[in-house]
Amino acid sequence: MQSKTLYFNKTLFRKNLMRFWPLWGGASLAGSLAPLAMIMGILHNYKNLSEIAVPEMTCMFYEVLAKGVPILSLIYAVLCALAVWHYLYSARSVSLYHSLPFPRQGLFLTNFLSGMAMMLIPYVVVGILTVVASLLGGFLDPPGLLIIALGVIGLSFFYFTSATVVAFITGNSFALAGLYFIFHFLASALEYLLSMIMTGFYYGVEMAYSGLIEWLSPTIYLVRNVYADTQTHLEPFQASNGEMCNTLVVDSAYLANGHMIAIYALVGVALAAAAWLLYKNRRSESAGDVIAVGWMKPVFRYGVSVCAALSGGLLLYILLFQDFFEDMSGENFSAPLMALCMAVAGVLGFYIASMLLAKSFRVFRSNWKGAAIAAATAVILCGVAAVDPMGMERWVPEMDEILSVSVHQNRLLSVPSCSGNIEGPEALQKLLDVHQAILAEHGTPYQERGDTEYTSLNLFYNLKDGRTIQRMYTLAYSLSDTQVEGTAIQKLAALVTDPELQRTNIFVNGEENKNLTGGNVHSLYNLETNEYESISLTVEEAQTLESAIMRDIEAGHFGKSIYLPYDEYLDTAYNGEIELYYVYDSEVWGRDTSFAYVSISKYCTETLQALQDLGIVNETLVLETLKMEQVHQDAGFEDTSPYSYPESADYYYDGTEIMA
Amino acid sequence: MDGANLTVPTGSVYGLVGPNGAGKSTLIRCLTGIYRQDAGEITVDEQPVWENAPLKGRIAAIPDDWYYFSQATIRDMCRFYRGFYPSFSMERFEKLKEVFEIDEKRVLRRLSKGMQKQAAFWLTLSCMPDYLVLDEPVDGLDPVMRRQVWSLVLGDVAQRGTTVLVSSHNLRELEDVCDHVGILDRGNVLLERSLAQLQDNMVKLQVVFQDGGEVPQELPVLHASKVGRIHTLIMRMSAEEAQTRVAAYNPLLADAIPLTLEEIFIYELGGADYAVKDIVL
Repeated sequence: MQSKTLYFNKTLFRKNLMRFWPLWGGASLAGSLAPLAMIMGILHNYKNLSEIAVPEMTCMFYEVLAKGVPILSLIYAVLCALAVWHYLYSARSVSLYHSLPFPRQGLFLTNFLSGMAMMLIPYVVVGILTVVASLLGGFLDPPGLLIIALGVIGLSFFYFTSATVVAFITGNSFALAGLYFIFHFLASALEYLLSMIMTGFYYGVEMAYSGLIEWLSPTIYLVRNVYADTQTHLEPFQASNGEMCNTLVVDSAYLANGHMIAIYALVGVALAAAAWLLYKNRRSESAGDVIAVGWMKPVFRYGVSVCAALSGGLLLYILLFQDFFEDMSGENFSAPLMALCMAVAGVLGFYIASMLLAKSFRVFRSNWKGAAIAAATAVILCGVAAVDPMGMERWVPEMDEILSVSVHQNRLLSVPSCSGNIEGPEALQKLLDVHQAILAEHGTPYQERGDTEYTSLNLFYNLKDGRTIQRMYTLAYSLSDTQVEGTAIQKLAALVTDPELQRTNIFVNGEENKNLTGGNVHSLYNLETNEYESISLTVEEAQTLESAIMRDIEAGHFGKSIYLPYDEYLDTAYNGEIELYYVYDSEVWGRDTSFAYVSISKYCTETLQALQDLGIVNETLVLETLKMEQVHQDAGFEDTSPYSYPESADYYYDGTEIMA
Repeated sequence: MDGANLTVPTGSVYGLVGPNGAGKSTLIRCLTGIYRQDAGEITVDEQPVWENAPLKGRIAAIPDDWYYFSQATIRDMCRFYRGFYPSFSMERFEKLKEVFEIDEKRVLRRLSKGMQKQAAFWLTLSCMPDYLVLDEPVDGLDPVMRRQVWSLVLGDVAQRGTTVLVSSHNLRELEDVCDHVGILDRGNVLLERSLAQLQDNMVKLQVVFQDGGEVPQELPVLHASKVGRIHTLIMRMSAEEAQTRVAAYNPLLADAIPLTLEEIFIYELGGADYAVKDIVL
């Protein structure tokens, strides 16, 4: 019977669901496999799910909501939209629907609700089966279930409305799928492309991608920012050996940044309103058109042109003017050539868009003015990117902007690198001095000399506004420059000895309240047996060594050998290594262990003295310098005779040498 | 469309004719509320058609390329139409089963084009429309079924006062069923009259002049042809007036023959520079 209402027609609703049952039926069946497996596992006791705490299971379900549902909904929504709106894409079908004695608001609402029903049916089926599994396994969490249900509804609504808007913009099934995915990733892709081009233009700008407009690419934004987490506490228990330990107990699970789903659902409401306006004003004649909305046609034409200029221009440049595998960072792009590539790709994109709109290949003559505008736009875009209007290349943050900086220094030789975090004002000032000196020296031609070496410095600024800015510099320097006051390399050499940087470099895991439980000293050379030995440390010995290491750090002894001439470095650094064990209470794992590995050099006088005082190094057990280790290795390990080593060799540590 | 002005009298069978690309299907889509006109107004029973669901419930249309759901049977489409058209009559649907002897459980796409057309008539006539809009309606139907379909349509016109607008290129057939005709060309209505008026406004005269003479130049002849001594003259005037005008030249023979709709169509469009104007009939 005919529906009485002008807003909903149950015949059409039922027809839609009946016509496309393979879509939602297939999705329901595929989605049901996981909960069915869970039910079967519980019934056959394959999986002891009942031993898993309720919050842990809830956390797992939240994780599916946060990471799985956005991706699944993204794909599934376009299929549902295609199912209910594809009648708009054929003159025959649109004639039937729009000649029916049913107003457009009714067609819109009924078809929209049909699409939403198709979206939700698989989730409802999976949800019911999961509830059954939860009841069987005893891990049903009604509040968690409610949150998941709301999340699924919100995400389904958002994705379906976004697909619906795109469905009304176009008049072609293929264009719907293409434009839908393009719109969902356009913002991130454009910023990424633009940042790649800027990376090639700007000195030291490793990756300019900020993610500032990532919220316009909802799937990426949601997957990155929404996540499941738990609230935990440590509970003491007695281990089988009688020792008191702590175990981590999960109190509750929560969906971090779950409000973002709600925000996108609200955006979905706005999209639904926009969709209705588009549908209301949509011309039935537009069936088959790539873009069905008149005023969007130039937007599409020039939009495609800009996207093609960025992506195609970059690709052309790399293919024609650059080694494909060459590092693109660091000011190695030629602006005129890049402008040429971008203009060519932009014009190509413009003509492709024009062909799609006109459904004809004969667009060249009639659109030449537009193509010229597209080329000019591409050149201007390239020019703007090349001149660095934002001052990205010269940017050095202010001290009060910085939350912390992660520093990674590497001398590009087999010299240990220095990586650590700094946030104290003294170390930060040293770092900013280095950064400014590098930029000040940039542009000054460097003459290669016999002792030229290279070092890299990678900086990750964590700013107080939440941004992370990365810079990477490769410096060419002469060893003599390390002694010249005010040079970037001299400042960098000073930075790597900074106590704060070295503390995080050596004690990577900076957990609070950690207890030192022991350690080892590795690679001590036994002069009697000609073998390397490791000595275990008692807690007291480890504490003595830790104190000595800390004194060396504070005195700036660590890192001093990094910028020595390589031969000198080999003669200064020891191959012996101190390993310290710590036990601490992890928020994730409960009781956990961490390690610190300390490489020492002749500059670490406090540590060397402590090793001597503890008797760990003595007349028999010695520390070898790296140079002597090489001599040692060259002589061959097979020969264990002490006489095979030159007696005069300075390969052992003794007190005299320390003092010297 | 280009300023087309068309009036279909209630209860009439209106034939809309015109060359390819004249805008007949576009006009029909506007009349059935599929397209919205850029300017002007389209009213049925003095009500605008656009987004007027109650009015559209009284209008049923069979387009040239009738759409059905890909897996649908006639029974499925019947349920669909029933869900929208308030006057859909199952009683009539059952009765028409005897006319259109098609298995209603067969999938429509597996039927021949003619059978699909029959199905379209079956469903559309079951909607019991007050206004029936047909675009090339009998295209694909066999002669017997054509007659059957027209009989049903004209039966509705006679019994229920249904108004029918039919667009077709089959002018001989239109001539049999239409009482009003509109000629559309390049988006504009060239003329619209009752068929009788139309036939009365143009005449075909077969004339034999004295001594085998030629057609006097003073005569307003649209088209003239000659076979032997007999001149065939097409003149835009009534038969009486034409015979009076020709009688002044004392012809040996002057017979007025009514023009067929096809001839009227061709000569009217010939005046509008229609491409076939020089075709000798």
